[in-house]
Amino acid sequence: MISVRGLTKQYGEVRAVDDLTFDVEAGKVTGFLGPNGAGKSTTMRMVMGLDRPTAGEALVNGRPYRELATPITQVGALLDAAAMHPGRTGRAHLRIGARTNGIPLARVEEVIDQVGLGGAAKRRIKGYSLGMRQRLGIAAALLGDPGVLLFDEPVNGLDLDGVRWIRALLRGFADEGRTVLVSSHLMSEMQLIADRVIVIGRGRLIADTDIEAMLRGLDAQRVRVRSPRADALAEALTPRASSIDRTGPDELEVAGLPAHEIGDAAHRVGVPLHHLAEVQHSLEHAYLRLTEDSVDYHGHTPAQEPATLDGAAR
Amino acid sequence: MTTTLAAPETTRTDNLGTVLLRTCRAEWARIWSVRSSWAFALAIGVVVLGFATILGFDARSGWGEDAPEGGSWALGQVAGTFGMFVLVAFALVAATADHGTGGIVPTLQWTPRRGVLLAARATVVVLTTTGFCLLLVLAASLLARLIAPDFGLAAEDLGVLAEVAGVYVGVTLLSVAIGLATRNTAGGLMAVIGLILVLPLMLAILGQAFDWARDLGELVPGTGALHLMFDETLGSPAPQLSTEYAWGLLGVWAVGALALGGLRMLRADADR
Repeated sequence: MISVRGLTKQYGEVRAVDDLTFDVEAGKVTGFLGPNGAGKSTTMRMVMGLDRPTAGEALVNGRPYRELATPITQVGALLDAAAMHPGRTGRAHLRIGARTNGIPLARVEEVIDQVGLGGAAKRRIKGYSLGMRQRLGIAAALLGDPGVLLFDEPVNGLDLDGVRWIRALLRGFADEGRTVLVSSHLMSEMQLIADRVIVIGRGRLIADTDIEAMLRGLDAQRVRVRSPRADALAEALTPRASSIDRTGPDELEVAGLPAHEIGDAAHRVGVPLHHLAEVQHSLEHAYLRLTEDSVDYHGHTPAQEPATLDGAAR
Repeated sequence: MTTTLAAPETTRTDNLGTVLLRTCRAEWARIWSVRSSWAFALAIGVVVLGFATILGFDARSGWGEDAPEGGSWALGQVAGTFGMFVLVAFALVAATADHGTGGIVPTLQWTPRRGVLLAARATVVVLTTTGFCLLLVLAASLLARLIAPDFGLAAEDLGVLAEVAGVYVGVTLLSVAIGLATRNTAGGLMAVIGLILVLPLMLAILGQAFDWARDLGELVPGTGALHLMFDETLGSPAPQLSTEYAWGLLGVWAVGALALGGLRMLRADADR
């Protein structure tokens, strides 16, 4: 279990993490979400003892990471796949980790097989692709067969097969009773694998809840309905619906009424329906709603201007 | 993949000594598992044995009254001093490689007790480089003896090797410490070469004209190291120094720099 209490990190004028408190429970995959610069990586680094908190503490199984004598048998982490000596072979990299924690070297071969590095393990890391480095980092995290796992953007650089593999791996770890904390900016991915989510923005906790509760916490359920007589249907629904939006020439989006009541109302007034379905909320939608006030770095789409050829302009 | 969860930390009985020993083994593996270490070893070997060959032929042509008391041992010592300049570069690279490559992240994940890492890193780099270079000095002395048979290799002069070992320990420790303090290979290298080679020689030359330069030269660690290594052969940059002062100067710099570098490793964020 990971416990974070009042964790704060100040870099000069910038407060990267601000009085953060949460627990990551065993037996679940906990997603760690937030916009760029929200403080996710800094928080993970403080949990792993890499950075010193300005205030507060982060405990792993009740103790600061720095106090663990054989840390990788307790906690495995992939924080930065690029952070390895490029001149060393993958196997040598893992063997150093094993030696440091008194783990038999046979375990190195096991994790190499597990992550699918195989023959690449004898090559120097500078020749690895990002995906291979990710796999090597994951192998290092698994070396000590730990009960607590932290992954910072683990699917970066992985191909589809790799993404499916990491998805199953994380799910499997949680099902075995391990504590799994994983940060990602891929909301669809998190919706598939996370049981709980911790959302932070500008270093502060925004939400700490399970996925279902987060999705339910959005607007009231909305229903999308299509009919060639959309106006008549809207008129029939108006007294009971909390809102009706026209989303197309023959399409409405209705809030405040379940789908079966909309179907019944259409039947009563003799309006034919071509489509009737509840609108599924996505984690991405929920996330964007939660973090819309906490985004530090916005991109801008260049203004669309009429294409003008030089010759035409002249 | 086994489904067995790791044993709780409280059941492990690893004491500090065990953890330190494991970390030393890992540090040793860090050194030999990269090609640059072997390239440095080769470079040091070429420099030391190359200078031993040159000195041997030079000595054979007749040094007369300039012949050092230590015979071939002294020739090996001089050759070893030239190798020392490559040695400090190697020690510095060994200390800064983790910071330059980002490897400090897995290193501190595997050894979060920074005091243990500091002790292991300094010990392994110093012992490895000193041991290797001593063997080279021994080989250089034998080579010089073969080339210049008039230069003896008396057992009673073996103490030269202890002196060489002491200087190697001092300059290597200084290099590691500066590497840990700067976390930057290029900057650290400039600082070490400046302190060990450039400043002592430059201040020695200026010291012939200016007293302040001579006084300043007596505070630079390289002056102490070169005095100990060259005093009886090529000449010290500060012949007025006593042997005790030279040892003290080198020791104070090495320990002081280690305190500074150690403090940064213990207190600062991993790679900022």
